[in-house]
Amino acid sequence: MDSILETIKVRLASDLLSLSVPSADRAFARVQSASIRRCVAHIWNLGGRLATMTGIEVRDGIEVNYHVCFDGDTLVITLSALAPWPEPSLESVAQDIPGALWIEREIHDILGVSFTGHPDMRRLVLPDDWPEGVYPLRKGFEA
Amino acid sequence: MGWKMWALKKSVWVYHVNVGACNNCDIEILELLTPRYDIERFGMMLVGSPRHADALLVTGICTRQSVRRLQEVYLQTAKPCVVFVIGSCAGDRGIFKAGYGSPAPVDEVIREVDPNAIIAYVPGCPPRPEAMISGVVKALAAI
Amino acid sequence: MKRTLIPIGPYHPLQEEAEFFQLFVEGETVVDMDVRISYNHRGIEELSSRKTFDQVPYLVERVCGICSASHPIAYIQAVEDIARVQVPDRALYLRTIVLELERLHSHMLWIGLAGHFIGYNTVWMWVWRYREPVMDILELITGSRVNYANAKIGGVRRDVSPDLYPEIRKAADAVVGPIELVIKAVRDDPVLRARLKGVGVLKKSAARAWCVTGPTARGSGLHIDVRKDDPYAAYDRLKFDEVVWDDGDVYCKFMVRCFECLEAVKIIHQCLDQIEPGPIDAMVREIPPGDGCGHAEAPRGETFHFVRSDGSATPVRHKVRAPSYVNIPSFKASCVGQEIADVALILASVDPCYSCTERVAVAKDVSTGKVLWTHSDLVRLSREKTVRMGGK
Repeated sequence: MDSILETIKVRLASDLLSLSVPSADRAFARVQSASIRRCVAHIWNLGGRLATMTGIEVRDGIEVNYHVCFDGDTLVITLSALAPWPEPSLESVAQDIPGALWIEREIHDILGVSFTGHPDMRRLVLPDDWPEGVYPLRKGFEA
Repeated sequence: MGWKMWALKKSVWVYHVNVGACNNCDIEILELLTPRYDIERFGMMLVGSPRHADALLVTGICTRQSVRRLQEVYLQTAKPCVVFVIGSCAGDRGIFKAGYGSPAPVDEVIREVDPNAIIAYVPGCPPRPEAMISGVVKALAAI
Repeated sequence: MKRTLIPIGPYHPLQEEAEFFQLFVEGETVVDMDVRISYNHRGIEELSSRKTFDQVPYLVERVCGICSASHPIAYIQAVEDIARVQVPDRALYLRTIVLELERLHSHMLWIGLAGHFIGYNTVWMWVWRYREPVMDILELITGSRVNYANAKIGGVRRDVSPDLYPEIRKAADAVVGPIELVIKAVRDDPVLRARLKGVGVLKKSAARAWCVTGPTARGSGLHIDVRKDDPYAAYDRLKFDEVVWDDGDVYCKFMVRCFECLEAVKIIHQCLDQIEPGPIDAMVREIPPGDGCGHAEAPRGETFHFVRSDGSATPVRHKVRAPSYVNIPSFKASCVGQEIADVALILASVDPCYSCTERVAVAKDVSTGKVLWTHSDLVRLSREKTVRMGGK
């Protein structure tokens, strides 16, 4: 696990803003938003499997967390990148990893982050009659 | 409609509609067909089309996307028909009541298209297969 | 050749979603497909941020009724990851027993329905009959057949009396015979083999690209099993095999599930051998601020939960990723090039948490809008193919 983390540190080098390792098998890394696609691709090439992505509204924008599991190792590393207001947007990792196609569409639905380069940004989880521009997971949303 | 009601109660064919359930009620309904409960001994049968059905078994909270579809299925069912609302979710949305996922409980959705619909409730999360059989028997005795 | 659109759905319950498949076919061959979900979108993640940490397990066990032990475990592990809780050993073993009993009942449910799809209703009825003792023992342990409400943050809610151990062993042993029978049947019956072998192949590279998990991945030769990779509950103290088959077809996925049932029985026996009296709850008082990831191996694959806490009584954000969410998009890789008659089986092969038998399905001709087939016709096509092969 240490060797994987060391390799990741070297590979991500200048893009890495901070890294915290709260336990032997969990790591949380903050990376430059502009280079998120490259960072995820690096970790993917090391043998990581993109488990899923989580969008969270924070003060400065929408934070998108990429959870990558290393099978055969206990490590789960979470890369996080910020999509700043007013028009949150990030580069799509689904161009490299088909497994991210659905989750990017979902985050677009529920939080309004647009993923540039995503081949198919149609609505996925919200109903057909859901109003445009209303994002249920943003703060201030009333059911 | 006297003879139609008489015929309805003889061997009830049911059609199962899932409008946003977690699958628990659904596997318990399938359980009814298998050797331990074996509802076919009462002449009840799950059928593949609402047009063949005497009763609808509705499970789930009726999500926004399902509202129109449920009404459509109800309208297609041969009349007279009985709607069995299976489980707490279908009855009053249970634990999901506060969420944005469902606009109205199943009975309101059905009453919107037919104010005189015959609706029977089987509560539980999920109701046991015995409870479902007992619910059907009691409902048929009441109409 | 004329291209026809066959919609399947929408009433097909997945974890959070029922879904709507559109198959594009030329003649008998599927050339493309598309999936629309949302029919089952209940807004669980939003609801979860309005519940207290201790209430959320009740909510997440209703994400999917069949994985109702695995989802709370993954969530609880994420929270325990934040709070750095040391869970008592006895609680870990009790969790493992319920998780493995759940795997038994879920896999047997799948084997039965797979039999139903290829026209062997006898398999369905028999396997579901042999599944009943497992449901009974789950009810004895937890109080409900399917919603267990057993695990809590820091331990488990209810202890299991030692008087129950022989009952649990008996229920677990009772499934071994029937499962071995099914394995022999699938291995030796030429028709079953023909219907399953080489059908719906998901290549290893495709499985990796689509990030699939669980029996879907292990049937494609990928070694992904959270129980081995990131041991939780008591799995690091138990000896069991990771069942991996390489070919990626429906046959392999079938076999993976059958053999996992046998492994589950072994695990349950080991747990009962090793379990000792002791406390069952670590009595967690508060959850500090922080991020936590938890994952668990549900019967269908890895369920992944991410929780962010700000030190208050409710999670700020709780993300749920059910296994079918990554397994279902892989249909694009496994269905294309297959016959329509096989599609029902391939869709079933990832076990998308279904009661498919009663979903609405209608096929329309794109140009005329005329209704051609219903879902029961798809199942009929599948069964006719079995009969044709039997006649050869």
